[in-house]
Amino acid sequence: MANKKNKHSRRQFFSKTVPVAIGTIGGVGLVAQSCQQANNDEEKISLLSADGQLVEVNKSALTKVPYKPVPPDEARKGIPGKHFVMVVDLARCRNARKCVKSCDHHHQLTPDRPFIKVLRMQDNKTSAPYWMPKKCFHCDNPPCVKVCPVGATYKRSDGLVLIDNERCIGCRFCMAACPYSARVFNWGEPKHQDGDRPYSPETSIPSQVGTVEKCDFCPDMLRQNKVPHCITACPNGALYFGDRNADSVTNGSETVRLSTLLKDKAGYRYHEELGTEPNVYYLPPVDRSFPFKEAPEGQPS
Amino acid sequence: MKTILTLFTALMLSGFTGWAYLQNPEKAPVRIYLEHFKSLDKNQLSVRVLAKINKRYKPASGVEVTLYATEISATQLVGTITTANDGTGIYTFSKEQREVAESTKTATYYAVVNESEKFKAKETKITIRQVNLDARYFIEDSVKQIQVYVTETDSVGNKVPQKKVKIKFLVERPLSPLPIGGDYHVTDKKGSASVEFPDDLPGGAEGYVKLLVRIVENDDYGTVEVSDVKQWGIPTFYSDITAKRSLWASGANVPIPLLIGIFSLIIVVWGMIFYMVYKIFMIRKLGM
Amino acid sequence: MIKNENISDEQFNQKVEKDLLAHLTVNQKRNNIFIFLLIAIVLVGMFAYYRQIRYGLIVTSMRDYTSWGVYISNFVFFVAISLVGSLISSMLKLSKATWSTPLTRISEIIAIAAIFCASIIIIVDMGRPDRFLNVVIYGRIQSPILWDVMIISTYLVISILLLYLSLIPDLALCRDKLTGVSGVRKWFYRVFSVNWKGSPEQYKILHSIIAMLSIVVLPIAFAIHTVTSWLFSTTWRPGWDSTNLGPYFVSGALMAGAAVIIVAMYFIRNVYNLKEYLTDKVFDHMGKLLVLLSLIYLYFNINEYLGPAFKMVGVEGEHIIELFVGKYAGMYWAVQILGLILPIVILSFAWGRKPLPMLIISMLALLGAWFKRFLIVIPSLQHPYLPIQDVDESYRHYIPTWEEWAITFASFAACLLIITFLLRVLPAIPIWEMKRGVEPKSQEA
Repeated sequence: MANKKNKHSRRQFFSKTVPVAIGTIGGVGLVAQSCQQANNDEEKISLLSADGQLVEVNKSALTKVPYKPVPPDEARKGIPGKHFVMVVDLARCRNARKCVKSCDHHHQLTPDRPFIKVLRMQDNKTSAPYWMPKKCFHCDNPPCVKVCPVGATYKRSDGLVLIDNERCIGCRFCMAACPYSARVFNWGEPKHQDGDRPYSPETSIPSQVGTVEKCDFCPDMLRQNKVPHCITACPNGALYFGDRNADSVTNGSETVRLSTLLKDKAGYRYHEELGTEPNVYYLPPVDRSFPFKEAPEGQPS
Repeated sequence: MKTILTLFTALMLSGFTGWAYLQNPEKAPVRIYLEHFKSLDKNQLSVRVLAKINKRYKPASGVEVTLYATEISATQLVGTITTANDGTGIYTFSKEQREVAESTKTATYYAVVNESEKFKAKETKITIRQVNLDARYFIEDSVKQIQVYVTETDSVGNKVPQKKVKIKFLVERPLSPLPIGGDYHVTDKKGSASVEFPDDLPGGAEGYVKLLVRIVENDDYGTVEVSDVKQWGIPTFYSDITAKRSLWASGANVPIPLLIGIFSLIIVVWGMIFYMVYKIFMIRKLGM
Repeated sequence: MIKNENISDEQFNQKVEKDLLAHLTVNQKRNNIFIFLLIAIVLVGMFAYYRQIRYGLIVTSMRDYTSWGVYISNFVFFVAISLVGSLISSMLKLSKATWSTPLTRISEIIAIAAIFCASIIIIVDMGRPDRFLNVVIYGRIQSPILWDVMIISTYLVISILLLYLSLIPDLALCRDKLTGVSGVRKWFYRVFSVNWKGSPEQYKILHSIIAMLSIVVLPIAFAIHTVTSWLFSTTWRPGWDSTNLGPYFVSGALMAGAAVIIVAMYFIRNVYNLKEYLTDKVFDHMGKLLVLLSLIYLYFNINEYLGPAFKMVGVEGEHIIELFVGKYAGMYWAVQILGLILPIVILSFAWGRKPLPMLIISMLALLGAWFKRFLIVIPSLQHPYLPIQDVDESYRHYIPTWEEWAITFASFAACLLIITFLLRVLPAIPIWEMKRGVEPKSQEA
């Protein structure tokens, strides 16, 4: 790369479909052990450093280690220059609940405390019912963060609202404050947990009894320049995720401009009048891809 | 190193593969998808392996795939990769391999999965032809444009335009690149396609954007990419929202009026409390 | 108060001293049984809390959605009760009502016990009580919880001061007059009476700081309950999202405070045989005061429910329906009629302001006050903006478990224990304020 390009690319992520060596291979990431440039002829590799910058290192300086989620202090800093948003196309949701399943799997959740809910909504008796996937809205004026007495839940520069469950005192004021019921509490000892993993607010694993949890937008994935698990899990491409600052969102297969998408499909935010400034947008359930079907037996709604 | 890696990958396999094996001790048939990717600075082969487990093909992780060029023989070995959780693996050519690949007009690559405890043997191949992808980035009448020419070099060295080649114009964005001017374009008789760059796309603090032009998953050429960085985006500066004082900010960023209000109240009230305690000691002193 | 007005000041004062110190030396068996019972209740509560520590808040009936339960409503109740101290010792004192003088000590003791139990119960509600110090280490003063922590600790200190200041002359009296008490108590009286000799200079200082404190305590007392109401009104929950909540809480607290002092004085009067001091006249005054405070609370109640009930906006409307005709209608109307309307009606008649009817009415008002706070906290949480779906049935209802009840009753028992204990070592009625002609008149102001 020329010097000029280097200068530029410091602030840019490599694209997802360009198969550079960013990211994981079987849960294995690449980390530069030493960045010394011993041999200029040696093959270089472009890497995303922890602070979101692109660096070039010699390939031989790389070893494969598992991706290590960042510790709680590090997790308080957002990914520089980004502001993450989600767009949910209600016209494409048919209550498949693959997002819920994949989220539960990756966050090691039991069904009694899901981060995602798919709600059966009906605005009034005469209007048609629709399915509404609901996660944490990661508000820009977050009521939960305002009321937290200890800063256990916090807003990051990249728009994410996360929880440090090593600091949470379990007062549940945030749960009372959240108008969207996005938060769940570990009333008892969490089950099915991989307790050996070092805790990171970016993975929300392992959970702790007596603390609050919620959808975290999978920042461990974002740091690896990958979209959250629910986005790729959706079989209908109903969920878009991206960076508001770059005006681009992707549902895993198509990438579109956020502003265009919201303009063309009259995107809105839930309960705008509350002034919480959510970072999750909804596209109204018009011209639906699927007819509305009530939830099958055994799946409560 | 490699054994550690394999061991680790085996550990990562924890879940369904091993379980499925226990359920179904028969060896699973596999499918391999092999693709070639070429950009300005690298050549790669990517594989995706699916295995039939419980009657359905699912991504198979931890599968060792051996890659060969020209023919399946030890002398033509390119390398081996092990698939990740999503069943994919990427092999990046070394400098020497890249030189060889670039000098070959038509190359054939094989991906081979050898029979193992879990999987049946399988091989697949692709053939890649050299193609020239020349992109021109220019501004005409203040319209930013990208024009691309797709040609093949014939035996005497002439560049022959290639028509009806699917081209994608992309601009690099976080998480995944954004197509500009529609999903894709097709080259005309002159082997050319062009697109206008939108004049309202944000591009970092200085407005730099990385432009990508790709021939995508072409049967003859694989994926070929050229790119360049231009100062075509709208320079956009984003302030750190967490730096300002607000009710939702950290404890260190308390709004000043709140800080003054609370602390003046504390000082006034506790000042009076301490004054009263002091007076109690006065009473004590008076009685001595 | 004492019938024979013709006796000399000296004779009068001797009688007052004798009568009011009597309960500090008498060993009452009945009292011991009562204390034993209270300790037993506290122990059961502690066992329940041990289970909660061990298994987590899962032992309660709280779940996502109904994420606050009786602990929080009980906390609000105790905070409300704690306002009694300032009601009697500050408001009535500043309004120069002399009939309330015998009640000041009792009210201050109740205030301290209540605020102490409120602090305990809020820790009980925490999912991670082991991290309580995080509030100090990582405290964010943007959070209303931190305001509440600050105001509650301040009010606790002020309440202790309020009790202590008016105790100094009485402690000196105990030091001088009480014989046959344990060495520890002697030491306690000696140290805490701070060399009180009753000299004019000492009286002057004492009066000046008591006057100062009775003014300072007023805004703090209002603040403690207003800030507690902000824990609710800073959210968007139906029934909480109200600008009326501060005065609504404060007026309810003052009413509950008046009710609790009536109950307390009824028992103290009978157990300690203080009929000559806690006269029917005092009951009559308290009865009238309770009517006034109930009327104010009624006003804020109407104000609180009329607007939302008229508009019936979304979840706010659902909440109103739930209270008026739904799941909680029985409790709601019982609380409003028996705990608010009935006291106003009965106590408006002179026969209703006799000790026994007043005891019954005040008990009803207190019960109503407790359940009113239950109705403020719980139904609101069950009406979120987004529908409650895909949850276990247990998430839709809230019926406290035995552990929650045990802890709640233990908190009442602990409150009564503190009151009983303090009444064993401190004169229940401020003796020096009941005496006549002890201090120069000029220093009354």
